[in-house]
Amino acid sequence: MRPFAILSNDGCAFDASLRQRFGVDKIFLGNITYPDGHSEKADPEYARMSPEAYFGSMNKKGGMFKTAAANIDEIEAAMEEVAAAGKDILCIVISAALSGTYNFSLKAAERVKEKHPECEIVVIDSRRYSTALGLLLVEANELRTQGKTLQETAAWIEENKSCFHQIGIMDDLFFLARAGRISKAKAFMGNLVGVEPMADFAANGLSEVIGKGKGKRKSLLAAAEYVKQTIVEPEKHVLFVCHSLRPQEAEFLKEAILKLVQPKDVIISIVDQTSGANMGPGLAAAFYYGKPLSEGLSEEKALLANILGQK
Amino acid sequence: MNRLTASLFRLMVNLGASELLSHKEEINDLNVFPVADGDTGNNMLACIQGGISRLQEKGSLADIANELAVGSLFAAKGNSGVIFSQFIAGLSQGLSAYEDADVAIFHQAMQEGVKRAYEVVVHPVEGTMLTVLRESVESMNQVQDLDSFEVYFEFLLEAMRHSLRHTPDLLPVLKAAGVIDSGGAGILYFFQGMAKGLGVKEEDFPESFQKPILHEPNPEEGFCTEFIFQKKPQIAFDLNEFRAKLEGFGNSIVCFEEGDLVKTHIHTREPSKVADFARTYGALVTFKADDMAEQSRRRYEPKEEDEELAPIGALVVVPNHEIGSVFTNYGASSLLVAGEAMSPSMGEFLAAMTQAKCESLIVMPNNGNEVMVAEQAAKMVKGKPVYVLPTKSVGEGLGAISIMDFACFELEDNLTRGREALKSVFALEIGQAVKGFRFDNQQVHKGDYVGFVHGDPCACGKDVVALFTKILLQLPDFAEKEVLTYFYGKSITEDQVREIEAILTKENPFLEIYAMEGKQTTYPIIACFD
Repeated sequence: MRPFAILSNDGCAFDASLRQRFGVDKIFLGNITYPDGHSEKADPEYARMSPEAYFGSMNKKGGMFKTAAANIDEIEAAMEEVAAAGKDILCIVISAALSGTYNFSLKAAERVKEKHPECEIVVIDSRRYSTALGLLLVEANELRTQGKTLQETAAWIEENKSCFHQIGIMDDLFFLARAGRISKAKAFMGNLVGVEPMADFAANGLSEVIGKGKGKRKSLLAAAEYVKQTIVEPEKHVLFVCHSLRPQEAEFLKEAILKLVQPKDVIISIVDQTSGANMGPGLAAAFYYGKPLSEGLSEEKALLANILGQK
Repeated sequence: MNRLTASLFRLMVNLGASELLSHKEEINDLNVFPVADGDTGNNMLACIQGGISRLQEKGSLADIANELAVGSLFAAKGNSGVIFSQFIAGLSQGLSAYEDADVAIFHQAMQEGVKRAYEVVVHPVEGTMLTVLRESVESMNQVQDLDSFEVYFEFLLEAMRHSLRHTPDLLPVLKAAGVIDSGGAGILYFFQGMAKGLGVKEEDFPESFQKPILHEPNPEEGFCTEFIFQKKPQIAFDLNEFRAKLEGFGNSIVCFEEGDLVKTHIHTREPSKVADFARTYGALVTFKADDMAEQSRRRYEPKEEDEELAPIGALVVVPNHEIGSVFTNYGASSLLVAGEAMSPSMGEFLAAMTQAKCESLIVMPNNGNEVMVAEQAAKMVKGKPVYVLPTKSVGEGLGAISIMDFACFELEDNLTRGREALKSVFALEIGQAVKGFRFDNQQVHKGDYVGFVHGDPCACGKDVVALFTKILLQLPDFAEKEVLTYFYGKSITEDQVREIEAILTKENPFLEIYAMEGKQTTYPIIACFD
């Protein structure tokens, strides 16, 4: 049995230490175009600009940050390096609903297969982005560590990818809506004073508001309760609390979750530059493995309404 | 009901307008005479809405009638609009000497309206709205000793239906197109709406209003031209002579004078020559000329798909646009800006509800009295279900709408969330007493600040900041509250806003406070605490 490498794109929100810890062998980097027009490769380490400076520079009146996927050649190069080293490839990438990365990866895989017919390459559309994509990589690595084959690991990921949740607060959905990352975006361009929209993943991988809390503290406590009621086998899985310029809220959420459940580990991380460009500052959310999502998120909406006392 | 009061007349006219609005497209579709340009509904509605826009909340029947007449006359456009405006002017003139009116006076006013409508048309044509008005009012001449307005309108509407049914027998173009007269239909709908204000039960007009069989447009039709000019005092002007000369330029002439203004409608192939002619008598105030062939041709083009209706709309009553903009941010799809310490009429509610482009509508009034009016209006809306949330203040409306989501949650879900929010939100208004009064053994002096919850005074004080913070701090669940959102008015300073925050966050450090400039004057503070 050949060993396999785990590849992804920079939108998995893993810096070098997290990639090393969770066995992500390679990531390919997309491009970010800043409002002033200059472009750079995404910087997963925030080496060139701190998260505070990056998210702090975003404002609604300013121009948009734009992101572009790594191109086919770049993805092919990353795959080629792995294939030449004699490994198979499991490539789990950002939702196809949000990026061309998945299709580029399929194309790149075809090219690499032509040169390395012995190399098995599986490309998976995660239907997720940012830390939720990262979680899928964690699970893939865990299965690999347990001795599962590439096919077995890929099958588990495909079968369970819709079980990865997010819940937390977002100060303002403006950036997400503008970037088309939120389902039913039209309603969210307004300034929701005093209201915390709380979202989970829709079937297509976009975020969908499932409730609105009044007040950060109450909303974060409700998010922790939501985690408790939807998480599956927490002791076997890692939970991330990811934020974009909201460290205190992230810490509060982590503590609130730990009072209710004991995941295998709870890690606070920062949203990656690519996802952050489309999300803006203001996120503090938990990402975790849980129950399968219901049709239209109807059960999730009802659950959160109950928790928030709105039903 | 034996007396027509100012408020009843205002209500009836508003309801008449709403009924026209509801059937506007149907009336447009019937339009084949004098030109098949499909705008009769639009024109009649514009006319009466122009009149309604001038109406004040208070005033005698005479005041209402006069303002209605003036507004209608100058908002009127198109053949049907101008004739309708003249009828309204005549009706209003007949009521203008009275504080209120009985049936006899109203009937005389209706006769005056018919007379003026005929006078304004150079060559009146039977089989049009003129016939419906004349025949129905004439039929009421036969009815003796009538003192009930309900009965009057029941007979009047029956006569209008009868007359309207026979308009194709009088006007060949209607018969050829297989329809009744559009202006006549507009008259019927207007009076049907008025009758609703009396509680007269609506009857379906037995024949369905089928769309006309339209023939190819005649490219020779010319321009639908309308203008107002102000007479030069030094030039002698005779209306009949002016009209006679206009006949040399075209047809479908409707022309009247009001004070020193003359309003004219004409179908002509030479609008610029008509304008030059008018200028010999005075200065043009307004002028427009529409290509009637183009208007007709447009009726043959496939209509663009109607803008997709939102599944859920939210209509919110607000005191001003500043506060309204916050509700829009929260998802309100339409606003009814009532003004401060004012409430929309049933007609205004009905119009706003009818106009809302959505499949279902949620309405949020901003005081307890409005809830009842809105509920009554909601029952009259056709084509979509309307749900009234019992929001009795701006603060309650804010508390409800802030946790609703019309894009992501289903209708019932939103209604449940809104109703649940009302159970926990504390809504408060701080006003300033314009005169002294007592409540709960407390004496309020002129100039004191008073806190109101659901319109009832709950506390008073000399200092607005002290009173506002005291009321909130004394709430039993103050420590559990998380968000204070309030609008501050023109009399509140930035220092006072900072002082409020300092006092409250000292007692509850977790409290999030959002102070927004509402620019209101009547209530310096309007708050929602949840």
